Amino acid sequence: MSDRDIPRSGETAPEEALSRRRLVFGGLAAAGVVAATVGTFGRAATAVAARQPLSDKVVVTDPTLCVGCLACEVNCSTWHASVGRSGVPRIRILATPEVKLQTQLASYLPGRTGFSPSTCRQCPTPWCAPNCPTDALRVDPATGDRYISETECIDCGKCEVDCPVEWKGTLARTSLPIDSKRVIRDATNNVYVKCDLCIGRQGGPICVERCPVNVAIRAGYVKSDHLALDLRPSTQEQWEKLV
Amino acid sequence: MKGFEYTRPTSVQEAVQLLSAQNARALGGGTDLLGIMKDALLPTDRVVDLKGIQGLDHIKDDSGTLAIGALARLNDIAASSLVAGKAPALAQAASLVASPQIRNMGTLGGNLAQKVRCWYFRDADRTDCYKRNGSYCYAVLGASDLHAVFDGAACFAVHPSDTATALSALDATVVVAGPKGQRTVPIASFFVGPDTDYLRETVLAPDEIITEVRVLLGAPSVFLKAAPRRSIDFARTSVGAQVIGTNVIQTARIALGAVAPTPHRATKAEAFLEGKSLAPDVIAQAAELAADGAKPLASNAYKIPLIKGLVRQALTALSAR
Ligand SMILES: Cc1cc2nc3c(=O)[nH]c(=O)nc-3n(C[C@H](O)[C@H](O)[C@H](O)COP(=O)(O)OP(=O)(O)OC[C@H]3O[C@@H](n4cnc5c(N)ncnc54)[C@H](O)[C@@H]3O)c2cc1C
Ligand code: SF4
Ligand code: SF4
Repeated sequence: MSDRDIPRSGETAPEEALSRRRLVFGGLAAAGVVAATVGTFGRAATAVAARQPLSDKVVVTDPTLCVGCLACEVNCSTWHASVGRSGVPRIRILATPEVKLQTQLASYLPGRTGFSPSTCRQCPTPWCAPNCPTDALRVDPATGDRYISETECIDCGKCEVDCPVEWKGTLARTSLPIDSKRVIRDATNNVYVKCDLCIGRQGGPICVERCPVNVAIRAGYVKSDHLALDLRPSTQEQWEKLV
Repeated sequence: MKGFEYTRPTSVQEAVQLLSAQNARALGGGTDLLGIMKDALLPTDRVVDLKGIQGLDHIKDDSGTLAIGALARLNDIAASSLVAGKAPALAQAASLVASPQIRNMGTLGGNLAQKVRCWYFRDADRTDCYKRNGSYCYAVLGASDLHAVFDGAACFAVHPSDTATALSALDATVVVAGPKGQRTVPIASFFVGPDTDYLRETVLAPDEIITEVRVLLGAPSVFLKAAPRRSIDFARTSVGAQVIGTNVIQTARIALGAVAPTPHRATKAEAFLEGKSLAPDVIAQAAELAADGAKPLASNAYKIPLIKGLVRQALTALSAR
């Protein structure tokens, strides 16, 4: 999958798309390298993914530290709804029986293993953005946060098509299947949503703040050199390791 | 106790209107609300005493439907020959709540709308629990003996009501009054889990009250409860069961109490029972299925054998009828 992020030299972008991208990303496109990606995705190649500033954060998840309490999902919904955005959770826990819980947690909670949190990877090259017809899919110039302005989203679904990362499996919460991308549709409000790193929230992503395993690690009760939900810069190297 | 305004409306409309103020709470028998106010667990600025409303404490047969007013006291429900004869699970559940004193004060509406009994929520000092509008659940990595084995999400408190379990098995309908008038809510969608809203346990808006509960009279039903003490104790697990159909089961409903944030229907066991009769091997398999999907925390796995045992006992009791 990682080759999707490596700009291919020698490929040129359609003029029209290029100029539209310049409009969308304004100074960003001018400052960065404009990378063409024609033909990379096996679909009509009108997209131009501009090299954007890296997101200085991505939620890095460790399934071996997740006890499936769903606090991340619930708080994600609740906070986003409280600021007038869609209440569809942008982080989801998939049931992954093959995952084994870290030994200290497993000795305490033997029945709660096999959960896998995942969310938007804040790709170094935000493939979801270029084809958005209303420029609802944005890159925050200060933080590099890739986010959707839900008021601009017209529910066309191009971002979901363009997102290179699948979201497939069984949801731990409902045991129902999920078959989507990391950009996901809110069918009630007719918008697409993705992890926006809780843009606008004091204290950053609420899932990272409230995960009880994170709380226990920070307090020293659970021994781990990293958090269950950790924030790190979304470098290419990091991106390739994300769940 | 912090000061509050006491109001005593005489009509449902007036009650609903009084409840529209911030931090206003309905009062039935007060056996739950007064404890909450004493420990200042939830902000309460106005108490709206429903007991001044006439005609909300009936227990009657309304052309084949059992209609019980929200202010009917649990002891009256337990003692009613109509309920005992036609909706036995509800009579049994009401009779097993707490103690005679609490059943004399406690109302059906209050029993359904009561708050959770998680020991962390009830500890006045733990102000950051989700149910108190906080941001942390102590039970996930703490002492979870009382907590949910199904459907926990952020909060793992279970619904403590015994009548809710029985009424779920009986597929009751809850009649709710609010500012826009009356609505009826099937009991299966009356309770909400923390993934919907961790600050409430039911669909009730702050200015809505339960006025009546309605149950179709008839088919055999049973309620069983397991608790460490025989009286004055909340269920650690309970079961309400009803089967419809004479030899072959048409519909089976098995509701489990105190194992999830809402009454938990054992849908796999229910589906398995359809078209079968209650032979011992069928009962044994249904009992196994009832615990399917349980995900215990650190100290509540004991609820899984309890579920199986209670379901087996409940179905065995029904097979003898
Ligand atoms: C020691 C003890 C043991 C207990 N054991 C049990 C038990 O074993 N099983 C069990 O099920 N319960 C138990 N309870 C809980 C409960 O207090 C009672 O069961 C009782 O039924 C609550 O009814 P109430 O009328 O006193 O409610 P109240 O305390 O008056 O109200 C409880 C809540 O419901 C709301 N409310 C009241 N009436 C209505 C209405 N009509 N519409 C909407 N909201 C309403 C109130 O605002 C409040 O939030 C126990 C309580 C105690 C103190
Ligand atoms: S809050 Fe933490 S432990 Fe709970 S489900 Fe999310 S990642 Fe897992
Ligand atoms: S189970 Fe619910 S009520 Fe109990 S501590 Fe956790 S959040 Fe609070």
